[in-house]
Amino acid sequence: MLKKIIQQISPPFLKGTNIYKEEQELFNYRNLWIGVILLISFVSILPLLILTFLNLNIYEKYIQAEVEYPLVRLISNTQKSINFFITQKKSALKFIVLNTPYEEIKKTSVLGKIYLDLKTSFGNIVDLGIIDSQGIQINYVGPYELKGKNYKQQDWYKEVLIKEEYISDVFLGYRNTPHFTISIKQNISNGDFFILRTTIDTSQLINLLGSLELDENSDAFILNQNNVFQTPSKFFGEVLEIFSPQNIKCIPDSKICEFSDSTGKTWIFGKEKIKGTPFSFVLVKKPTILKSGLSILKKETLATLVLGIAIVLVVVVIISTKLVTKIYYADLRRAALIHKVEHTNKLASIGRLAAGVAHEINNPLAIINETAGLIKDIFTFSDQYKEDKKLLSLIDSILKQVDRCRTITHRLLGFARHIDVKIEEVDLQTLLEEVLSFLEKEAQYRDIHVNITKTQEIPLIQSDRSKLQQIFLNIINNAFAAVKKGGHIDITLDYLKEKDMVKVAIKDDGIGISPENLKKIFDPFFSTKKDQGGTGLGLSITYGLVKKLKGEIQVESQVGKGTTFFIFLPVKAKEA
Amino acid sequence: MTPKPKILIIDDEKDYLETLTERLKLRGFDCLMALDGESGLKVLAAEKPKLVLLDLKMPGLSGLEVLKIIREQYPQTRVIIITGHGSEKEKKLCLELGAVECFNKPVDFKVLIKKIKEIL
Repeated sequence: MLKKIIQQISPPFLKGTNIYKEEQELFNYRNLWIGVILLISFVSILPLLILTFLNLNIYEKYIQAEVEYPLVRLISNTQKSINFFITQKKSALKFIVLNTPYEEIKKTSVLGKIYLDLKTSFGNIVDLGIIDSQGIQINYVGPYELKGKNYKQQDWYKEVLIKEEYISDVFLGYRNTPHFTISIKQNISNGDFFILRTTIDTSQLINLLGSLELDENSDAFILNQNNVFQTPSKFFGEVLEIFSPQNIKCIPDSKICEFSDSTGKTWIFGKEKIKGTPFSFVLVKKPTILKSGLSILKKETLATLVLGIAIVLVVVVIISTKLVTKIYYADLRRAALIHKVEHTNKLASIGRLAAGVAHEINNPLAIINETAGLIKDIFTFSDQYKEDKKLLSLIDSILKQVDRCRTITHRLLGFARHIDVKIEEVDLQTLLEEVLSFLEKEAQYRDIHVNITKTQEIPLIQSDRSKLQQIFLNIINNAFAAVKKGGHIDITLDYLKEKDMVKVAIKDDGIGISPENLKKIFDPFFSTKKDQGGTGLGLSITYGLVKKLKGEIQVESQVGKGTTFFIFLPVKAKEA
Repeated sequence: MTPKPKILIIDDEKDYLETLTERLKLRGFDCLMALDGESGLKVLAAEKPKLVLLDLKMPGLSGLEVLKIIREQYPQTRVIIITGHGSEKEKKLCLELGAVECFNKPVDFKVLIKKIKEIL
């Protein structure tokens, strides 16, 4: 079934015969077809591909900018706010240590007043302590009993000695609330120094982050250098837990990165270090609608692209097939024409040759005829041989054979002499008998019975004798090929008065033609005898000749029963 | 006794000419021979034969030309064409030009004799 459909739609040049066997390279229609399809497809699909990818790329960049730009701005601004918040505290402490002599600040009353002032100004100061150069907290104001505590061995103390100021990571401390410390070192005149240390509650920092008014899909928090949460996160953990993003992918030349959380969800985030602190500010966002819009757009664009390519391919294949089929048929027609011309030329030369031969033979034949006649005359007129019956019969035999030769040469001349003549009055029965005389021997050998009958008086027709000879010779030849030994060929002549045409029916009782072959019988190059050297041109030429004579040719056939060709010829020649 | 009617045969094939002449002589005809058109016309002028058997294809003057001259100069003389070059066109032309009959070689002798007897 599928095979049949494929056979139906597959272009004719793929299954057709190659017209020019010697020039297979030049006339390889399959290669031409594929080449045309590939070239046109390439030329039409390439710009489509380029445009699609350019478009997608530009849109992606645009969307990235849309997402990235506000994010980066927000991060930068928030970082600045936090920085300002901490710098403010640091500056206040610096101002205190610069303007309060060591002797004064050692006094609990003075430190207490400063503590109260700071608390009034900033609100989130937990405690305030003075540590001397020995590491001992010599003065302390705050909720705990920390006066006299030695910090000499603690890391922050060592840091502050080197860096002059120090901001600690967030820790929980005694009260179990997150806070961090700021420590400022102040040198005294005699080379001695003291450190002012304050503990700050992180609630204000958290408030600061809260004031960003982020949407429900966003999260902002502060990390230390070890990715430990310094402020709680909405989605990723509590204070002092570790933030562990996975599969971090950063967009080149951008502060924005992507990561996936433990559930595999993708987020985008930006991180910026807060200057002068161990902290970094992090902003996390779910991929926005724009971003998912991009993936929808990508899918739609790709679908459109695929559909476009499919349409282009279908159209290209159809057009190429039509084109190459046209070329193929044009070539076929050209080849048929060339064959026809060759055939006609061949026939004409054979005719001329036959005429030449017949004429040349006629002269010696005439001499033989007269010489033999003379011998006979001599015998007849002389008494010596008059009674010699044997000699006379021998001479008669020569004369008889000469007569036979004359019939042949006259017939040949008669056949050939009409090659150049166009329209003349033709007696169809005589013409058919002439044609049959060429096949007489074969008919005798194969015991084929040929009959010419006419139902009524057939008028002379105005036609081209040589073309008629060609037509009938071809069809009768075919009939001879179709019938078995002892077969019959009946030729019936009929005059159709209303159409003023003569109908010639040539009926054989041969093998017949199958219906599928019958449809193609007049097609050029259609032959069932290709392996036996058939060109498939005989009947197509015959068809052309009948058409040229303004006639009609029809065929009826039944496999096993025989074939009948009907040829209708006009009695009066019409203008060709 | 009236002289025998003379027949002039013009043909470039010598053998044909001679055998045909002899056969006609055997039948009592007085025959003259010519191998080409020119000499044929000379014989014609001298002997005034009643009938000419003429070949068409000859060196020098062609049969057709000879036929034209005969019809113009000797309208009394009858002409039978005997040719090996039997195109219908030529045959038609010869008859139009005034030939009595046109035979193709090799000609059936009985038919020829019958025709000659008719004319003479």
